[in-house]
Amino acid sequence: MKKLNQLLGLISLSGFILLFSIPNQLSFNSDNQTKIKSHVNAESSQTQIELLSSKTEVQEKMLNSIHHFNNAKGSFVYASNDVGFHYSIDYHVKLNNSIKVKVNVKNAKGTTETFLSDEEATEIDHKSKQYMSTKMGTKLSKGTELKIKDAIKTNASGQKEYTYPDTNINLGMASNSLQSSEIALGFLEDHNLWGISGTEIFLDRNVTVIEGSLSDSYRYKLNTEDFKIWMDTQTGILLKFETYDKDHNKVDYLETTKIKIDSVDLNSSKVTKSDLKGYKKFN
Amino acid sequence: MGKKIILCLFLLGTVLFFDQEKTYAGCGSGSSSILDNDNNGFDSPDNDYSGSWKHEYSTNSYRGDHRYAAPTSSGYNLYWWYFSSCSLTGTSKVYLWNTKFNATSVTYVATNSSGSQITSKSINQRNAPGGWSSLLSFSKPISTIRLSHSYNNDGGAGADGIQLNYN
Repeated sequence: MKKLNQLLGLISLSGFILLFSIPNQLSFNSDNQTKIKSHVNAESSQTQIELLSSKTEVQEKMLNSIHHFNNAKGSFVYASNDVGFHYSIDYHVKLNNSIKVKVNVKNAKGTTETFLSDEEATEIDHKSKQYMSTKMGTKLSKGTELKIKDAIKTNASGQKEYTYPDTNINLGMASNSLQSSEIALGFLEDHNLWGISGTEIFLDRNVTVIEGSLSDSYRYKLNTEDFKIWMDTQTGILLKFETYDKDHNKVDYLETTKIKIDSVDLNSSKVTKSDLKGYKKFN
Repeated sequence: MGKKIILCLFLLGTVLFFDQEKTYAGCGSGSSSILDNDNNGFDSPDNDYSGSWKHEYSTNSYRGDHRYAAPTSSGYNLYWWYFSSCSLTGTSKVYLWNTKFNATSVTYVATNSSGSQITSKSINQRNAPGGWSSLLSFSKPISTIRLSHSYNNDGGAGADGIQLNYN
């Protein structure tokens, strides 16, 4: 009888331990999503849901990045060993009151400037000293935040449709870092091909590190197999990204060299267009 | 007999080429309007361009063709789509599928009938996913969309179909 009681007690104790250990295991996976190294499909459907939820959050942060900062000033390099381009980009954007955007793009051919305000949109070629300017017919606005479920759809003809954020603030070449919708919608579309591999500090910013493989159509187009992204965790700004071929050689890369986000001195600084004295209108 | 068959095939091909679906705007709430590059044929009144735009055929392009601008030495490659007048707001989609489109920044500018800018967006054609990209949302009526591709952007730019969807 004593042995039977001991056996029943042991069974009860085991059940008790099991009852509390299973939810703890699930919450461990849920709470430590950034620790999960994936390209891996989750082992259970519950874990899969948790992973997808977290990845959607990453995608939406990147897609809606301009809703997470007001002022930014910085520089980045963007280059490709495949196409052969190499750009240096400087930007200064104010997105709160009296929105203004100034972006300079420099490469071996020359320097161009994009300037945007509530009054005008101007594209300037500093090499030929020509510019195109258009009056604004509407006020600039950040628009509304976009959900991934509304951004990627298949139409009645079976074709994919990708919706970009509805803002009319055009960040020009700087959008490759400040609002990288193409990466969020394209590279990160298939959640089975990428994962969050960790967190790092980069240029004094907390970044979320993402690693993954590209879909077949991207592999064919970009001569690329894999990618790695360093996304500013607070804002969704893409601070750095690299793509690699099958031998792990770097193909395309973008790297921020300096950045200030919402600092006190940025709030008081002005964003001004270059002096166009001596410049001609482009025909 | 052989010559007659060839002639018939030539005529049929010509009719099919020029008799593609004509899509001048239906301007009504919920309606849409599509303009291709070289809409309904070359020298279309629906398009214009400046710079070096080469016409190319491809199965990956909307209605089988597109315009392609290789990087230039100076200035801008510009391409226009002229839509019929409509006083409604809405969204516009651009078709991006061709693997040759590698420009890292191409700007689409939507203007109203007075030439004022309503909205614009720059897109990285190299990294954009293939298919229809709903790029622009216009809160005031628009009549023209212009694509600009700067000389110092080293990737080639593509111009293909654009669809307006009215609210």
